[in-house]
Amino acid sequence: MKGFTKKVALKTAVALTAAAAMVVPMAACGSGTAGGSGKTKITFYSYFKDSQIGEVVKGFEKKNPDIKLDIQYGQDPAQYISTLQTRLAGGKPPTIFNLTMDNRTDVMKSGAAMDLTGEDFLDGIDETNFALFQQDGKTYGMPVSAWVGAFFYNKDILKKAGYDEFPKTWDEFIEMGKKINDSGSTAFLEDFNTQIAGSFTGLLASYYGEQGKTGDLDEDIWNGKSTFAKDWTPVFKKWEDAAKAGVIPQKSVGLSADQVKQEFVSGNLGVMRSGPWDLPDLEKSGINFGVAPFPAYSKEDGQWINGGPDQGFAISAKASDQEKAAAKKFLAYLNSEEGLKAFTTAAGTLSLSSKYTAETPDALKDVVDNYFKKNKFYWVNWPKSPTVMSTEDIAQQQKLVQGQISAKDAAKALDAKWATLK
Amino acid sequence: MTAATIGHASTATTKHKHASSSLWAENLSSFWFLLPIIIVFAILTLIPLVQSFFYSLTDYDGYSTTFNFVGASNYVAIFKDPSLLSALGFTLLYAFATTLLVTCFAIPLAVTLNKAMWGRSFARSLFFFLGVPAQAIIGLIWQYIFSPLGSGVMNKVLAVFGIPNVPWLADDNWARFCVIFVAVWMQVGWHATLYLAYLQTIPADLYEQARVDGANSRQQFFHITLPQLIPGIVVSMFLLMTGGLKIYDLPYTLTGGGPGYSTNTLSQAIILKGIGQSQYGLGSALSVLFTLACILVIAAQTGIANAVEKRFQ
Repeated sequence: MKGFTKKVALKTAVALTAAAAMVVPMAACGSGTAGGSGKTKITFYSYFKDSQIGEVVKGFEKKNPDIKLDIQYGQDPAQYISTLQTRLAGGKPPTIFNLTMDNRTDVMKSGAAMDLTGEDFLDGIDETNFALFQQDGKTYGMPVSAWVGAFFYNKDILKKAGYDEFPKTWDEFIEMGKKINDSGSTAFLEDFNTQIAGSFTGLLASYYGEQGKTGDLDEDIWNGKSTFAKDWTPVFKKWEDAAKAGVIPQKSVGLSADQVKQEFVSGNLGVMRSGPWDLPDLEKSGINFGVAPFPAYSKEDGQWINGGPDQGFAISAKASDQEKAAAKKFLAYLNSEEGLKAFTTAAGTLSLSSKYTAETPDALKDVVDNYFKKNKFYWVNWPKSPTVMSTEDIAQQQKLVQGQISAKDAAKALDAKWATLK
Repeated sequence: MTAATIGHASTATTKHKHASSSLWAENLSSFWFLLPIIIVFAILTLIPLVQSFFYSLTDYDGYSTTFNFVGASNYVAIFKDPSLLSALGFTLLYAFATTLLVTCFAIPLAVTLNKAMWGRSFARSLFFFLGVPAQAIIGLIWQYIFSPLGSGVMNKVLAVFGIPNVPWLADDNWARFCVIFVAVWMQVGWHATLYLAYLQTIPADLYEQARVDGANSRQQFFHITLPQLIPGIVVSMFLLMTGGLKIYDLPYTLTGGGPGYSTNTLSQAIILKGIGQSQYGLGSALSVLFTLACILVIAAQTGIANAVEKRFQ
């Protein structure tokens, strides 16, 4: 009996030690005051990688020695969303997190993000840039940078096909594409397996522009005054013309963005849709390339580019007052000249704040100065269930390029999916 | 009743008591051995399954702490959604096709690798290691091999023989073929190794006697090897079928579920709906139906396997 009691006692001790070993590090994961140091400890679950935001964190901690910022990074967009969702639902939110294009509506609706309306640290960022991170007139996220997307073309291949300049309209683009294909190169490729085709959204923006629309171009669809069938079918038709002419080839359906880029740098591809994120690789490859806005729907001056604010920075509504104060300091540092310089330089993005303006790379000067700065940039920003709609859109575009459905069918499928969402 | 009879009866009762007490002790010790796995099963499978059923009747989005009961509307939505029906169809196609093809290729491969030949150990290792890397990595590598571009490895090989480019991952049917092909390629070696272990338990006497009786290689294979391999085939097919039904990473990295929804699987759909698209209720309903479908398929497979095993015993 004595031996048994000893055994039980030993087992209990082992179990308690094991439990303590699990609990202690977990407790250490939380925010609050860092053990005995007197520092305020806050956590940051970052969408951006260490290489993009690491310097900002270092600079912030150096300037704020009384705050310890514990940062964790998402591996990829899907994993970031799922992990953040689990942490929010489990009642263990990070003090600071990012609102992405895919989770922003759900997070704002859930009340997990703190209301940032009227905070001083938002100064310098134009009000229009907050639209994606606002709900019921309140601001929940602070975007500090923006991205742009356009057509990148191989000047040598275009010259061989008889073009010194990039076509300005979609019909001219199709004509050029046919000539490039005939010359033995591939005219155009784009990754539309992981995101909506940028060439399509560029064409859609141009169509809207030619219709005289301004502001949120899809607003009529979002508020039920119009439908995808009505507004998007003509653009799907125009885009489909390129697929029928072989300029958007069926083979582009199965390609990743990396495969498209490799084809471009190997000199086999005339045109691809890309952005600043590919500039270092393109410059290193020595390829003779240019950047142009997307060809217009029909009018020569109706060209647009892809673009929009990057992920917003949000503060947890559940954080303590002390943690909120520290988190606000971080957002203020991020939206300062020093923070913006460190962030936009490392991330290869454009500053949205007047507090810092970076030198635009030569290749992008035209699209940034003549389109981005003149608000001629667009991206579809679904106000409800973004992932549901973008997944459906990608599937419909792939079917359209494969010739399995018509432009009308694609738009109707989007209307049907939209109708199922709350 | 004589004293002897009473004595016999008493001995029998004592023996019976001993037997039942020893059976009880044995059951109790089995229970203690099973207890940890029962607890793990309850925590990791049973409770989440019950929770999934609960959430499948709600509109829970994974973010809000409040939700409403919506009855069976999530289940109705599943049967109305063409992308989910397509996912169900491809999952079943994948599970059945890979189970049959891997079995058909792994057995002859195991028989070949069991023969005395030069470089046998190397060949065994080579085939076994095909399945060692993570499926996600294999998917990414084969994405380049099956690239629909002229620069893709397969298309380059075909070009040598004057065959035009094939739109491997850019066409619904070719994409389905590619996913199943890669799955068979990476699993066949592992399952051949499994069969190899079973082959080495077949007594050599059986083959010697068969040879004395004049049986040729084909007859030896069909009348000795194959029947003796039945327990191995049951195990292998069970593993393939369960693995096939829950497949996620390979089609996710190779095709992303496309083109369209042609190579979307149920596991992908559950994760996409539940987590990616914040439709926990719908994702949970899909999980419940998926579990039921798996139980049905596995029960049917086990029934057939038992019948075949009995037939060969």
